[in-house]
Amino acid sequence: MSLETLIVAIVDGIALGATLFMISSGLSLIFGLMGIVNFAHGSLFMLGAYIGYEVFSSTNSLALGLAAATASMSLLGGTIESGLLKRKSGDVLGQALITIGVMLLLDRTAWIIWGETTYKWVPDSLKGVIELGGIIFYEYRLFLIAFGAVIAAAVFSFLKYTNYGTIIRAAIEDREMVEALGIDVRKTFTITFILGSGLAGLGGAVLVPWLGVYPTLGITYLLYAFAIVVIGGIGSFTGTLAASLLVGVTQQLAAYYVPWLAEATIFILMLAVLLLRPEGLVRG
Amino acid sequence: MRPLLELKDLHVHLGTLYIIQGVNFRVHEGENLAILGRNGAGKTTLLKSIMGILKPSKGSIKFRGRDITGARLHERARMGIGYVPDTRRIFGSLTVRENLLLGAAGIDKKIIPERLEFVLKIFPDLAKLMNHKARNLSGGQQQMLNIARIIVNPHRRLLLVDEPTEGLSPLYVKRISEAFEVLTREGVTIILVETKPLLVKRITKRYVILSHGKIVKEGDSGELFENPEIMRRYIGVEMRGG
Amino acid sequence: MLTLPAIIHYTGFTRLTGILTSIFILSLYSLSFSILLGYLGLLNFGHALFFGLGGYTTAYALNYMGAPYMAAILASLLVGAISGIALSFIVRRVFHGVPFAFISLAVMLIVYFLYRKRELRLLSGGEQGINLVVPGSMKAVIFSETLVILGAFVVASSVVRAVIASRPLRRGSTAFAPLALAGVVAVLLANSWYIEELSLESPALRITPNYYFLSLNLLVLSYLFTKRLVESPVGRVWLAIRENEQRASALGFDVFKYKALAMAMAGSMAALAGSLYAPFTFNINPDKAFSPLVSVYAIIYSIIGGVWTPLGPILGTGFVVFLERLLADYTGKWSTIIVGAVFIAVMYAMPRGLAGLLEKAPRLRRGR
Repeated sequence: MSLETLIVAIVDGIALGATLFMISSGLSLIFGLMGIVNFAHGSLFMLGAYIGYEVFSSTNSLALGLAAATASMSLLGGTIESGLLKRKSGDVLGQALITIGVMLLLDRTAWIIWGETTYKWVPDSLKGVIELGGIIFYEYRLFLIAFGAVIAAAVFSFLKYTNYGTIIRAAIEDREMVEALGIDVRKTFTITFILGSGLAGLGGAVLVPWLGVYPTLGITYLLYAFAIVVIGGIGSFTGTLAASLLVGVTQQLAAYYVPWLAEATIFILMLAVLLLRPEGLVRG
Repeated sequence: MRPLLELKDLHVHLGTLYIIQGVNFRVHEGENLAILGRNGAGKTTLLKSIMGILKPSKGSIKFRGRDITGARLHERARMGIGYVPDTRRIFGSLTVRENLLLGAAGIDKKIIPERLEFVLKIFPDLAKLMNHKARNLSGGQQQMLNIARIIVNPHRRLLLVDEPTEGLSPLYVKRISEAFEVLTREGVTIILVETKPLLVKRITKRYVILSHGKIVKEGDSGELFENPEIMRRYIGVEMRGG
Repeated sequence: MLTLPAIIHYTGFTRLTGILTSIFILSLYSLSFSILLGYLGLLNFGHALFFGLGGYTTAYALNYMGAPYMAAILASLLVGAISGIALSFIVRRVFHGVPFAFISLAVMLIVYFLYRKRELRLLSGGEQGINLVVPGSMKAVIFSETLVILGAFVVASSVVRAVIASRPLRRGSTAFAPLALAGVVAVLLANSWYIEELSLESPALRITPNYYFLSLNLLVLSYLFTKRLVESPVGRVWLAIRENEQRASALGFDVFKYKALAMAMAGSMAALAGSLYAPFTFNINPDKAFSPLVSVYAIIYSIIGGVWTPLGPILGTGFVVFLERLLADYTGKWSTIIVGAVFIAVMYAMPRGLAGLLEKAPRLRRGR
């Protein structure tokens, strides 16, 4: 129980939080904008990880794998939205149920293709450790933190400085009023899905060198992402970022100090927020 | 002359409640109309159905000669109908500038600075608040933004305004009524739901009184002052100080 | 029902009995889920919580306390009802829509992840779970005979009641009830002698037929109870709450009480299903009890069948379980994928589910 353990746990937690942000920010936008609880989101995270792994291991390039995972999952997400969900627009319960079917299809397909094995691949350039003040850190986890910061900044800029971003933020608050101004909000749905799914695929792929990819990865991280969206407040960028880090750090601290509570803590946190502050921890 | 807006036998249900029970009227260009009535008479429901937020169960709505009964909300906005809701509904997490730019969506980018100048001339208070989050504005400032956001777009020909001065101090009431006068001069037609007789007289030419979802009386707005009994009887408002 | 002999021929009798038994048990579970969704608009993502609690309560009662099976079932019913009411109090302030769905999910996940931990294996049996002692009563020959008689009595009396009830009120919905019951009777009679023959061979083979009858009878009872309840004033208040909660409240109904009642009922019915399922499969573990996938299956069974009538989830469960088991013979691992595809197709093509198909028959007849 040294200070060293504590610092390592916190750093690992932030690294995990960076990945969690990639899966939950898309989920949060989709939920906030369209009202859809997207159960297929975790499957996209997992498929991104598998595709990332395949490209990593065959090209030996981290960048190519991440790009392939992002691109393929953007495409798949866009297809799910325009091919399936668009036909049920207005029926948010029906849409959520359809994503449950999609989740079942994708998870099962992945299981048939890749089986029960855990696949892992680490880039040579980030294999090592760094010693800072007598504490040893894994290079890859530090890379994750930096990479996560870049992605968060990119998402923030999209939402803050583009037309689509402004429309999405406004529509999360009051969709009807945005339409009353003459803007067809539905046109932003597909782009939100493409963006969110790409981020999920990227998050899954970038996690492979640390934790690997295995068949229950999708559902596990989907549940974490649900907790984060609830804790951070639906549709809130700042909230999702803060909650991702909070959940990441809490999970890692619990895993070090009270392992039997590791996952349960997250959902206790989620329950507490739902009961005490249903609008989430962060406003707007 | 072709009317700007024409409602024919409009019926609207809200769930199981029968709110608008057959309303007919025409509004000609420049002929601002006041809709009066007690709470629950169906005024807001009527505005929302004209805007396309609520779907009528029967009847038709024509705007500039085109049947828009089946048109979607954003399509009606594009055709030139603007809606100023009573509960403000500004985008609180966005800045004042972002709110205004959303209102200007779809117009030529080159004329945006000119349009911003136009609304800031009408509502100078907003000029120094451009980069503030809208939720931090006072009630009166939010109401000005609520109106500014609609009229920043030069294509709006018809404004549906729902109790714009509710709960505001006299200073803001004055500002807002002046704004409507400017807009009228610019050729925008206004349908106003209001309870303040002074505002009704200053801004509108004609009035209709709605009761239990039906129009029970209509006439020239000036009449309301000559005959205060109308206001007392149909709306329960005592005329004080004109 | 007519295809039954053919199915028996191809699949083998013991296996068919096993499949049908799991259909009856899982139907109880999906029926409990659809009461909440169909009649109150409450989508319970954490429904497996009740199912799992029933299973574990039964395991504790049989293994640790040596209780008779009937006592274990009663204890599960009680635990299910209490947890339904407890969950109602937890969600009291936000008893609707997404908040309810997420709160029930969070509660289930807390239990799930705790039960999976080695540190709590005394309680949960760890990831492997607890292997249940087979209840002595389920090995007895006499059990199935008693239940045949009991079952026949229940069915006969409900046919009489359904016939009486079908005369005045809504023709469409009740006219079908005697038909369905006639079918059940046919299955009962067709199978009973087969089963008796088989169960005489060895005690081990008797367990499945005994479960078959026990779960069939409990399903029929629960179905009739539910049907009666949803057509009673209570059911009408439930529907009024689903349509417009504020209005129901303004009319003087204590909305919370009605919702808590539904939760207690759904909770005990799901726990009953768990209480049957755990000893039937000889084992209960966290993944069978509290996992999100168990909740997901409640949704799939119910939506494919249709949640607007108590018959829907039963049809849906039967269809999906049969499809999955039979497809597994030919397509192996792909069976779940086909189920997922069917689920999505039903969402688009038949919004009222399989039960919606039956609804058309009486309408056509009326149209003469």
